[in-house]
Amino acid sequence: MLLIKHPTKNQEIRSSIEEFTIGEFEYLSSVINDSSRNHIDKWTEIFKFCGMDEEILDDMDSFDFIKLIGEFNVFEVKRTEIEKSIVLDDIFYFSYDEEFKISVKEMKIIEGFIKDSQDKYIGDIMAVLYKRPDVDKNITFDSSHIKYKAKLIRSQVNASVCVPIINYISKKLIKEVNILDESN
Amino acid sequence: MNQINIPSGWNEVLVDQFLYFMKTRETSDSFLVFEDYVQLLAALTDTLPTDDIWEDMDIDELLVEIKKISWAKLSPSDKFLIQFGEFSIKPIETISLGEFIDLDHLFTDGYFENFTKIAGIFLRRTKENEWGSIIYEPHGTYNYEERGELILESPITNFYGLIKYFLDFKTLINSNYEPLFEPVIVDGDDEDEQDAYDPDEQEEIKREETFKKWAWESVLHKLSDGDITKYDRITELPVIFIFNQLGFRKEMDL
Repeated sequence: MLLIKHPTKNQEIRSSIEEFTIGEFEYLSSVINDSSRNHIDKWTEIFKFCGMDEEILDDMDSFDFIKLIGEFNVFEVKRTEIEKSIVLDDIFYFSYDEEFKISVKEMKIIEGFIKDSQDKYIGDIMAVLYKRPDVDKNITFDSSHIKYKAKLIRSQVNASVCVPIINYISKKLIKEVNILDESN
Repeated sequence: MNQINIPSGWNEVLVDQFLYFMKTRETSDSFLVFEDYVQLLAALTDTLPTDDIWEDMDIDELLVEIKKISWAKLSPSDKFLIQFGEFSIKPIETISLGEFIDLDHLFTDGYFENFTKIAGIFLRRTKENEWGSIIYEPHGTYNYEERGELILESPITNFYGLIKYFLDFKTLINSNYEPLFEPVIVDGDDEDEQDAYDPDEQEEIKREETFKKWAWESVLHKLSDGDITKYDRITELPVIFIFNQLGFRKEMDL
């Protein structure tokens, strides 16, 4: 939480990744990545979303506003370990058994989500990777099933869980494939 | 998991695999990296991208397989077989006008799409005449599309060089007989616009327009003096001879 001081009242707003769900984190990312909006506009929207009173926002001077942006640390990530399981509606879903791996089939679906949606794909990616072991493979990869899971993930899973996975995928997609392309 | 036999070079890739590989590469989506690589690997191994052997593989294993086809970034060698079973490749300097026209059309439409047809035009049965000279099976006396399909199960390295073989010849024709080709001003271009073109670009535009102007129909019409019953006879004549005749006529203003 971040403490905002105001002459008439102080207020705390959410500011670190652990305080948001994946759906909320996707929204914050989409605002930050929106190239059609200016910097002030984006961060005003973000602070309002995080709970800041409009009165406090209107009274804030520009230096304090910039300082607040610097202190806002939702994109700072400490977690590196990939979470083995998540719980959705009291049911466990697992991303791996012994060692985290992504299959080619899963990666193809993930690539499709990243391509189709500029900024709201994290929930979909998590839905591909977290599976119920008692569910048939065909259902696991069924698009409706993934879509339904993604919706639950967006509302029930903490955003900090997704970061190590996104880093892993980014590394595979960008770094390792690029190394292949360059070395060849 | 079943072992996948990834070819170690183009000499292990058959013509039909190569053509499917090139088609896959042309239609690939540069954004879908892993999906594209799986399609390329599948093309080279006679498998489907949706086979379990690929879909169940983890991406680290796939990266290892991708490295194995790094040689595919380069084209196959420009060599080709002179003899393929009972068939021989007809030397390009002996091709007739009709053969040149057909090859030109096939190359223009896409030499990978028409690769087997192109090979089919080159592949001929031969015999010796009474004086011991080699005679090539005449064009038009056999179905070159069917003939070309005989190479599908052969390594691509046996025939890939036919592409350069023809293109080099066409370039030679263009440069040796350049005076025959009138430069064409593209409609709508004024001098200022032309001057704005890069010299290489101007050269390319000129080359494209000259080839457009060289509609083969007008060549045949000219040579036959408008008598279409002579077309068949003219198309059987060697293409070098035809161009020499055209050059002679132009110079003599005939």
